[in-house]
Amino acid sequence: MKLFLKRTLLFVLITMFVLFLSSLLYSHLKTKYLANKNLHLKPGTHILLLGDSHAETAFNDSIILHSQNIAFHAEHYLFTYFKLKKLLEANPTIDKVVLSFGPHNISQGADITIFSESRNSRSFARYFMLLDSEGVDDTYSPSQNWRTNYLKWKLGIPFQLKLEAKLIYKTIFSKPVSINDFPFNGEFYASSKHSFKKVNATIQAHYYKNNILLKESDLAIKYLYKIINLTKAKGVKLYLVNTPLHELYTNNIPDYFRKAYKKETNRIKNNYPEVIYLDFSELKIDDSKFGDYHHLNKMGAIKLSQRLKKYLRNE
Amino acid sequence: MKFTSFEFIIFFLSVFFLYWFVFKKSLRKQNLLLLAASYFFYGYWDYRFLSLIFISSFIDFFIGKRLAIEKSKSNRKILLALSLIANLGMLGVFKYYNFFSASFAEMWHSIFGKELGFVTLKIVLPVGISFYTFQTLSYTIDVYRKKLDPTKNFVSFFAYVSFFPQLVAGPIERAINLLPQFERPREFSYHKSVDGLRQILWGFFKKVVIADNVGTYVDQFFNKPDSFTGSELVLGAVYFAFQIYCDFSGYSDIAIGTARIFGFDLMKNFNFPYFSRDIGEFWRRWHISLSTWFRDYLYIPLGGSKVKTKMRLFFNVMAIFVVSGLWHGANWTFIVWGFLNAVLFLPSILMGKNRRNLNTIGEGKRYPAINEVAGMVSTFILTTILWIFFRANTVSAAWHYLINIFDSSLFTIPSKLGGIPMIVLLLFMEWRARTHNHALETVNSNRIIRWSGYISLILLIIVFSGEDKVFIYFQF
Repeated sequence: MKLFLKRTLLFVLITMFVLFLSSLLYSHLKTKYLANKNLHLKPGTHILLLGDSHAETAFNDSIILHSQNIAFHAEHYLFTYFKLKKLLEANPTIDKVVLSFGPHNISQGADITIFSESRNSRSFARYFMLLDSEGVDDTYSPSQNWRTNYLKWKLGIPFQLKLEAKLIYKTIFSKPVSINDFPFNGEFYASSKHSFKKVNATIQAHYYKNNILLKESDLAIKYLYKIINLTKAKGVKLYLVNTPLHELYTNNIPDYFRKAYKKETNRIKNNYPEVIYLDFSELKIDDSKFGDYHHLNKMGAIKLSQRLKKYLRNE
Repeated sequence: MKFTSFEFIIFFLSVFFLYWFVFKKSLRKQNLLLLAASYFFYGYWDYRFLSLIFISSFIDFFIGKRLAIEKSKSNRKILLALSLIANLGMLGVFKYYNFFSASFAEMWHSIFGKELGFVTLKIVLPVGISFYTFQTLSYTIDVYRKKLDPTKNFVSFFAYVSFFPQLVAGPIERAINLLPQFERPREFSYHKSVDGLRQILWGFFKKVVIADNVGTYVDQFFNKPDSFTGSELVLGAVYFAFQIYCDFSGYSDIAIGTARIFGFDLMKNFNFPYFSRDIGEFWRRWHISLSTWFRDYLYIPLGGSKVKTKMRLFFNVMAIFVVSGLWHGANWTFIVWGFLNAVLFLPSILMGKNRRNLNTIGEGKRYPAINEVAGMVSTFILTTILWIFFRANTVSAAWHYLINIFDSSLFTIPSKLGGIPMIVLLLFMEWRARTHNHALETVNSNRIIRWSGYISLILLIIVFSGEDKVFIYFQF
């Protein structure tokens, strides 16, 4: 027994030492790859397009001049805030930010990517490198995955290699890192989908849990205002865009969320007159231009992006 | 309590300390500690589950004692029947009632066009109920068959039924193997404990690095098969084959390793099944504790392969595979999976060729023969196709998945190849150790190399952790 304990202890100590060294090395690599120069947008870009899948499928950055779409599907405003903060820091030329903003963004349904057992680890791993202590605390959920990820974040241990491998590899071998190597950045997705199957399933996912109507997400609203304040502080013009929605989807949005959304938009208009709110949710768009009930496909994206381009040019 | 939780680390260290330092001199106290620890471990999920395992153990303990003194054949049969009814009854109610009542109501509706006012029960399936039910049944059946003397020790028996390392996902231990180990003093063995730790490490690697990570891909492939190409769906099926293997055998490795540290020897549950050259060999190497349970308590009592007609043999094989499928879960997918396995297995047993490959592939040689490789690859392909039925939510979803594989996109390069490097590492390690108990049993004699290997595995486990998924077999 003595020998067993002695050797086990020795092994544990050596392992902890190796872990400590790896953690130091990793922190060094992370600081290097997160350098502002690696997060530069395309040359000439001064409009940043952000948000979740609504922005990802609707804002075609090859149409909207001087813009770059880095939206990522199912992105919560908490993550958008930290992403924006980092990108504004790395790209002082940005003067306009276009953010998708629909009723589903302020529903607790949006919190699923942060708190659900099956998805939180994936989103945490994608954005952890941007988060500060407050951000990490706000993602708290009483799950094994959160605790593991929290410890890894705190102790500086590499996250999911499949997401970070490219960045680590390029940093070690001094290869140029591009903005698209970062796991939290998306791009315009030219969807060729056209499928109208289950509007009810979408409504349920956005506004209900087990058939019970959800409430507004305090967290999403908190970070929406943090985004507004951040852009204000940086002197960047913020455009909140409600992208086109199919009338079957719009008609099925629960009244509670219609009112909550209206309340929030009014609050923004009253308290932040510099923020521009653009509502395209009822824009007349053929069915053929929708990917599904709440996303545009590439045809729809052309139409919306042309409208947006015109609007931004006139601003 | 899951093996992959922080709570388990604290739990394990506490039990280890008390077991080997505080209660070292008293076998009874050690067993009491294991019993209390096992009930705590199980109750950590839901304390209500404890009543079921207690009732099951209580009934079988007293039936076992009664069987020892009962001379009348008919009374002995009644006692055995009581044990079977009680145990299988509980399993039936908690696991199968809703499935059978819903299936019956559906059939009634399709035949007579009328809805049946069936009541489905709002019950939670107790974790691991199929495992401990089979374990405790093996005791009564063996006592009934006079292969085993019943124990008079209440604590030993209850600890045997609830022994925490293998309580919720096996190996399903026979009383004949495990119960006597509770009744004799156990000594700490350095070599056994070190090997136990190695096996635990390998189990964690399989679970955390491979099963949980390829599992995230598998979920995507199986949830939306329409969104992927044929080649990606093939990759999804291959990933699931490794997910289910690494998840389940990983658990068994952790269970066996943990038990060894406490001085117990559990049976081998997986013997590198994907290196099998035919389906018969696969089933001798996959979930061995369940296959042999069905062989000894169902197949042989039905007459096994020593029956007069081929029709009867056909029936026996079908019975064992379909029941084995049903054991996995109350869903038609499992029944179809069992049935299809029987279909694959039948030709070899009907031709008397099911025991051709009793040795290990490439045994004593560095490389296997070409025909062995062909057998291994074809067996893997067939089992992987059948896993689709196991993984899908419904039989039609499985069929839909299979159909979607076969189009022109089958020959494109798939995305989501991130799980492949770790699978290659797994296969390399297991191939080297295929004649041993687990992949880390054959270790380099140089301690620096050996420890570097272990530390690398630990680093991989840490880096890949955080996508924790519940062990698949807990639901069975």
